[in-house]
Amino acid sequence: MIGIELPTLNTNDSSYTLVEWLVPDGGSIEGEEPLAVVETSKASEEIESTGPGILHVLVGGGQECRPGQTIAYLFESAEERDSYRASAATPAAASAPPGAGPSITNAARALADRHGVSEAELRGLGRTVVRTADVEALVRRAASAPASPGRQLSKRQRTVGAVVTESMRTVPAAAAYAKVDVGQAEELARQLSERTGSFVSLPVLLIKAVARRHAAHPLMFAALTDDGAVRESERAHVGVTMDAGRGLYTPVVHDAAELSGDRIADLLTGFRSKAFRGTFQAAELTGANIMVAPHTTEGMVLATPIVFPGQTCVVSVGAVDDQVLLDAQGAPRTHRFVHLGLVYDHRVVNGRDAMALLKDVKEELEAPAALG
Amino acid sequence: MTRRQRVAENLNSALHHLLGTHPGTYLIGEDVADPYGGAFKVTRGLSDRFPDRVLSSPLSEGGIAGVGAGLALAGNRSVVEMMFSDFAALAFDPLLNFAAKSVSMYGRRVPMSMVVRCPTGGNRGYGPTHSQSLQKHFLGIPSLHLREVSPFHDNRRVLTAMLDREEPGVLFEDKVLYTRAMYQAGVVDDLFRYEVLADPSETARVFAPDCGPPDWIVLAPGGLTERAVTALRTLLLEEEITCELLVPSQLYPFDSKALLPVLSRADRICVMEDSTADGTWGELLAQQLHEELWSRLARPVLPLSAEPSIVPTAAHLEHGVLLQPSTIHRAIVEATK
Repeated sequence: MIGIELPTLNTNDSSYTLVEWLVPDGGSIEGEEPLAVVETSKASEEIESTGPGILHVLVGGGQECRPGQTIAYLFESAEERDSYRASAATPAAASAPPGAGPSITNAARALADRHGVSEAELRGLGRTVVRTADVEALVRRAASAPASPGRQLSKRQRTVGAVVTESMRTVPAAAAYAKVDVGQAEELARQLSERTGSFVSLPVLLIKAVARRHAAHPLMFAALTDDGAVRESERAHVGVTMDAGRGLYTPVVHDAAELSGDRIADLLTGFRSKAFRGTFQAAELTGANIMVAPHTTEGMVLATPIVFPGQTCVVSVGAVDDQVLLDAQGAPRTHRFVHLGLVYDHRVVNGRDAMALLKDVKEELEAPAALG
Repeated sequence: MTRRQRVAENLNSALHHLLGTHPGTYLIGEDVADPYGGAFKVTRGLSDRFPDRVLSSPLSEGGIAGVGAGLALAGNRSVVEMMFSDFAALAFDPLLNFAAKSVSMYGRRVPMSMVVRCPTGGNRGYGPTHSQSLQKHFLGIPSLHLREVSPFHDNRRVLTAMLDREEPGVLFEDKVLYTRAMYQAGVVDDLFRYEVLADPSETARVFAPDCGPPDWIVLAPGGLTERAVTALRTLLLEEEITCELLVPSQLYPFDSKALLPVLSRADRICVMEDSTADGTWGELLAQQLHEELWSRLARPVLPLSAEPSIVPTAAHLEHGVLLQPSTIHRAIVEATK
């Protein structure tokens, strides 16, 4: 395939008129012969073929064209032209002919890309020029009417959506809650942080506390299989829900019972930075057999998370809440409480099992010496 | 699809019409007769059709302007072609001291139907002596009106209006336009549309549809149309600055009051021209517009002109002296901040 470009015939003209083709579209050319008549502002000139071939016309008679523009192709054979036309048909139909679509300002294009606004939606505005304000209006409309097809959720959020939908569809979940005095646990966390330089927090101790009770409550760490059996796990791999603004992740603290508090703390710090950048490796996100869901923003009391399909329960923890109580001598003392929640798959375990685990974890946290 | 008429063809057909419909019309100019048909072929075919009324002259700008004025004074209509606008300076005296004054200095109004056609402007490498835009030197002469050719205005209408005015007039014709196509049916290109307003200067308004009130209104004579539209495009698509372009057919007298409703739609106005800076059409306009619009303008009217320089021959130097799309783009972005 050889492109036939229009030569510069008159330097004062920005465009010429292609008056007529002397060879019909698809016609056969023997050698150097006149192909078309082109008119400049000064004169009409003939464009000659440089060699033989089958002509494929790109610019019709009567149309304006620019110097340098490819006005036709020469193919070696009719078959080559046919296969070109077959392959060119799809992209040609897909890409809008000039003038058909709107002109889109650079800023509007960038905004549309950022919000996942499609070319079709931009075209659907029916405007000659699409500016930022038009795209903003489109995004606003999409946000106020989530049912409209306007705004795409992120891929990450669609994945979360699939998981929680599956959970709601398959897991008959029930929940139990406990109130835990975490004064000592907080003190331990503070000491550990000071001693090791790691950021040891209540969720760190909770992960360890949950993991330490694995042996006593194997069903809470089990996975339900299709045939109504459960598969227990040898070790406690505790997933943690984490959202640093780029979507929900559930990285896993593998074999958490064997890790020291500061080691778990370091893992969580690393997870947080990866959640922020979205740079997890697959191994860090797989293998959990129980989940811990911290909801420790100040003022949060209870949270009822979703049980992940393939797991049996999820432990949530709210923010610390001060409460003044009278001690044995009748003197007022400030206590620090959190609410622990436990949502469980009622097909696998019952309220009794849930309360037993909650009670054990509560004990771990209220007498936390073993959690360091 | 019919081919769009080029500006030179449009002028040629307008001249054919003028000489064909009015027997008292004369055309005078250097080498205007066939087969040469004028340096830009605008007078092609006229001497063959009207051999008695198409007068080919030697180099004599002052003389032929005087003959044209004399014909007008005697009740005829005359069209005088300067081969290059630069030499209209030689016709300045007959225009200033004879033709324009004759309208009113004989105690009664004397009709003076006369047009001096001036192939104007640069961007073609013709150098200091063949590239100037002399509009500013003819401004403000009583009874001398100035028009400029544009791709929006049909020259049959323009030339007829000039001669019907019965006062001498100068028609500036940017040489770059000759080979350009006339716009038709309200379409400039894929992005811009135009309409011709009903004000006395028959101003063409170029706008991008759907954009609402513009950030800027740009006033430019016809020769700058292509460069202005190019700048409008990049300003809109790259900077999202919306501009409307106003291209009047008549430059002087210019009734800015009649355009106030249009001009009041933006709080930024730019006037541009290819005359060298200082003492120009754009400055006159800026002064008028400050008077009318100052209280609501966001900034003083932005004047853009060619550099105060001769027009160099070398393309890159000429490019730097005359207004270009990039110059316009930059200046408007800067003044928008």
